[in-house]
Amino acid sequence: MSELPFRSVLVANRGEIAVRILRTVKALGLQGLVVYHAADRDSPAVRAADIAIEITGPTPVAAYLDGAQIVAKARAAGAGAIHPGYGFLSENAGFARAVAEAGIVFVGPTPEAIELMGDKVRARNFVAERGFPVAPSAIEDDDPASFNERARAVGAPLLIKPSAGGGGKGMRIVRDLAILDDEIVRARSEGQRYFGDGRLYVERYVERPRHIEVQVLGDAHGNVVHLFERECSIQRRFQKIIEESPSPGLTPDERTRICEVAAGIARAAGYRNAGTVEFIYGAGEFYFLEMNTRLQVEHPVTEEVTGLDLVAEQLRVAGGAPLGYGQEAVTSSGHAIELRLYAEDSTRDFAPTTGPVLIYRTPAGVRVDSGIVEGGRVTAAFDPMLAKVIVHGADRVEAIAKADKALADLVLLGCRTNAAFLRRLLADPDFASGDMHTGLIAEKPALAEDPPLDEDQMTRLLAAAALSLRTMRDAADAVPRLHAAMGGWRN
Amino acid sequence: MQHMIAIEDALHRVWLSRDAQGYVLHLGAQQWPVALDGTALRVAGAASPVTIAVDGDRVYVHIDGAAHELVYQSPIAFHAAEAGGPAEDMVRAPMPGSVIATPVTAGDSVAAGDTLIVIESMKLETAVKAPRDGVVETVNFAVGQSFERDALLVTLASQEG
Amino acid sequence: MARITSQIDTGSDSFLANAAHNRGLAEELRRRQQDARFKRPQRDLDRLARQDKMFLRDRLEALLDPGTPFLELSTLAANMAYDGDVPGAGQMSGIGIVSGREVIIHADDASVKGGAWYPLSVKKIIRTLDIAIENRLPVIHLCDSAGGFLPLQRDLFADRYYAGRIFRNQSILSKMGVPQLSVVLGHCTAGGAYIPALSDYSVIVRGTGAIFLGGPPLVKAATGEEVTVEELGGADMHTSVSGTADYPAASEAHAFAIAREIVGQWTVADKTGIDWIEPEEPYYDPQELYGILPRDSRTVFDMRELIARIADGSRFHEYQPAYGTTLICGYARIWGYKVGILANNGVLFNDSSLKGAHFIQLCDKNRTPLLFLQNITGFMVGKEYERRGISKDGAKLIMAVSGASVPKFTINCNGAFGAGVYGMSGRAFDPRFMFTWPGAGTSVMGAEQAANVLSDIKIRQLAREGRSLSEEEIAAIREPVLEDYKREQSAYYATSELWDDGILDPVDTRNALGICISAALNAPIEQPHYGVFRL
Repeated sequence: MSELPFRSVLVANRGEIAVRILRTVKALGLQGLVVYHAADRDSPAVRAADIAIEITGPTPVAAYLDGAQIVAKARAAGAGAIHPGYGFLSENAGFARAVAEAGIVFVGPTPEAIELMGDKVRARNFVAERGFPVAPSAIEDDDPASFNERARAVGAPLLIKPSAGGGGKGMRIVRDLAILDDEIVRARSEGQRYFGDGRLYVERYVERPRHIEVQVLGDAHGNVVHLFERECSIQRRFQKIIEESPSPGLTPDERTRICEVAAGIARAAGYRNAGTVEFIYGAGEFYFLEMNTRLQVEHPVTEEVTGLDLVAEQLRVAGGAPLGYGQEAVTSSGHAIELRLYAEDSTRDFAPTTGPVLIYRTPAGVRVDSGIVEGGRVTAAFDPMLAKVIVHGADRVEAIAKADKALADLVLLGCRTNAAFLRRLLADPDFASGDMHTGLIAEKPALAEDPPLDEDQMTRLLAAAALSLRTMRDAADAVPRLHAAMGGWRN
Repeated sequence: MQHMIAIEDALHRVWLSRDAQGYVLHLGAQQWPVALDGTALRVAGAASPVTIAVDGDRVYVHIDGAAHELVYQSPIAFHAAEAGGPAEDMVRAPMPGSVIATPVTAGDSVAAGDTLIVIESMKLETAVKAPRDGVVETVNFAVGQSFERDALLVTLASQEG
Repeated sequence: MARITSQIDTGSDSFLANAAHNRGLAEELRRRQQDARFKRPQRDLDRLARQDKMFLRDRLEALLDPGTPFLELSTLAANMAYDGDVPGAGQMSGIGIVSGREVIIHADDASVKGGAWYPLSVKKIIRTLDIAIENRLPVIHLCDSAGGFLPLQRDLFADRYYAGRIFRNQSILSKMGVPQLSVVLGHCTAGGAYIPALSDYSVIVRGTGAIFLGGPPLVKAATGEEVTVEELGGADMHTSVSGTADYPAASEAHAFAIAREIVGQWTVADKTGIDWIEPEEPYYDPQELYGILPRDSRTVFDMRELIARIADGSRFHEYQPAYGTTLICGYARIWGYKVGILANNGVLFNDSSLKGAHFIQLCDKNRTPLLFLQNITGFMVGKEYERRGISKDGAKLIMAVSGASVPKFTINCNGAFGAGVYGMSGRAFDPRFMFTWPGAGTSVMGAEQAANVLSDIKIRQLAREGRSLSEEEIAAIREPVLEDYKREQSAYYATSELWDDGILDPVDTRNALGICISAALNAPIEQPHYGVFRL
């Protein structure tokens, strides 16, 4: 890639994504730099980088959010480009601007695109105005006199929310428009009671919604392609847990439509670099939710089905190169699933867990993007995501089977993870049939519980522990051979 | 006499002995010939592949595609605690997090169930309660400080003597 | 070593009848042992529960390494004394494994008369400590005793082998460097206070354990001072103020956990090396012992058949197979240890006595422990044998038995009578351990013979007075004598009086011997030296 205008890339991130970006950077023959806080001194990202630059801050997270410091360090190190990864500064328009002003290439969209999509109301209006589907809604304040009429036009089912509300208080679902007027009266009085403000807002309610998003890629020359969709409906408290592509919930027509809508939105926004358009989908309808102007955690799913290296594509278009291929050249084959391995205890309301990484062995033949390394330590300082397991199969059934085997074969000892919970999700009949929605985990609290160990499992676990503990082995070995051979004999 | 091993919150009385053939695991009235050869665990002749890591009194076992944590407790510590010994004086963190309130200070009298410290973990607020009536000896963390699981948050004055 | 070829027909009527008889004896033994260990008046069990104390047998299991053997000694001590009210003489004694160490345990049984010491209790404790001294076995005392049983104090206090001997033995053990640990689980009052005080280590349970020379009532009576048990001799006072005890424990279970860790600190001494190879189970099933032992102990049988069911691989190298054939001598292995066996196959003649004396000296020179399998009615009597010097030859055997430096072990398999007991290492000859099989008696002569002698004296006395007795009158004199005699020569009477270290089910013999030989090898073996053999 000699046409790139930079010879080095600094990764302004940590964990698995820093490792993943550095992998491509180095594969392209570029120099890989990474910034790190002292808490990450022994992290795999630091080990993977050609140059690691320490950054400081009142907390480890604050250090990674300190754009000015990072730009200064990048300049001092002569970095040609900065890749922000996801999270931290990745959707910070000010940072993107500061990077550019420092004469460094920002691997991502323009600050304007970040700003547009970062403002949820502006983004929604932008999309709606250009004729793309957004959830029908009505805001009382726009014209209080016509509110009931406009609300009726939203169609059933719909959701009435207090404008001043939050946390679900005062929300009412209306499935039959005949009672809409009565419900509006009640919602208004509840809003008044809870928040001292009776103004309302109505939007289409999607029953058992699915979260489907589309990967898009644009260059600086106005070319935009989509890289197909990802389904991310398996979530817990808005945190994605399992992502896959293609979505098992879309018909081929719907799939084409949703992908083209996404590409259209990106094109309308003059979007460059990698981005993701998120939709809410239910009952054959889909509505624009938001656009993420960065590389997503779940991008490997797309890489697996399209065969593209998204980071390489990002670097290429960031360097000013045209995409060089059209939509027809992008194909999706087989089925890919990503599972997020979290340091958390599903049986204790998903409380975060910590501990030493005593043994870490990843399954053979499967992509695992890891932010941990054997000998390291999982702390509470950062996000609890430890690694991503990505599998690719000829079809969904094969992919699920591979995913389950990969989780079973992945060994992480020293810190509790959600691996067993993920395996229970994979085995869930609704997941297996593809009949899922974002409330699936909340709807099935039993999935969070470890099934009780049977006697055989218990015996084997205790045997493994007993044989591994010096104290216990020494106690057994101390018995003279003669007496040991007699066992528990009594006269 | 038995060793104590906890799996999750369940405590098991376990003993390992030897006979002429090898090790024998004792669980209650049951006994099983057991052996561990590298990554092969044998219980009553049946083999399972395992990966095991020991960290002090903690044993981590990956078996049947899942990881488990077991915690060893010496009989002395177990029986001392069982007899209402010093364990109740120590109030430990149920999960890692940070402190958001410290309603008591050293010297305060508290009743069982009183809140000793309020912690936040993953946006969840948890009030840590006094396990018994007593007097606070130390509060080991200030508001804003973070800690890991099992950190000693508050100590109650010993009732011994 | 060649395997003995058994001549026994295990399908024969006599084998089956013997087996039924002897299994019955073994079952009776099991039942009586079970009762002695567990059968207690409910009020005593209730009292223990009220005091938050563990039952002795639970204490034992808490102390021992699980999955290791325990050889209990003198389980049926006092079974025919004190109206049978003091099972085990209120004491438990035995050899077991604690933290991998061979130890001998002495425990007061608080469920029997509050753990009070009866005369036979004292005898059992002293015997336990004698075993510790002879075999250098570390001792664990589980102390929970009400003190000496006052109504019988004259039979337990003042004499040489009475209570003081316990403390003397403790002191001697300490002098020898054999460690002792006391776990104080109840009161140690008066003399009992010296048991923990004379131990190298002691653990005391808070709330139930106490040590004092005089308890609160005695203190009140003596000086008027009013004091609680805890103040006077409780765990915290003794472990933090007086230094009489070492480790306070929060509960009995805690105390045993501490005790086990203390024992784990004791250095395991190297054992005396003797010839040992990998053990081998007997080729012939030990269960067949039941069919070999006769229903009537006077029935003759071949003792080699017993050896074949006790020895490793049923192998036996017989010494002088053609000479003095009423005493079988030879080498075998028990749990891999080489032993020299002497077993009676008839009365002792001149040649058999000489053979035995010679074989004992061979074993002594060869560092080979001796195993005596008694089935003996005595030395041969009569003019011819006296002229041949049967007393002189018997004396040689006794001299050899007494003088042997290697450990001796004695089993009374089928009866031991008269001077034969001396020649076959009876209790007086300090075998390290001595056991009796359930059907085996011991006395100066057989019951029938003794009853005849005793009734003859009476009959002759009456005859001198000019009275002649009818058959019925003779029987009336003879029968009660016979009954008393039979009772007092039984295995149960012997073990009640601690003439042995316990009755063994024959099938347990090999394991018991293995534990005993192993224990014995904790002590060094002296160089052979003897007194003067009358030649």
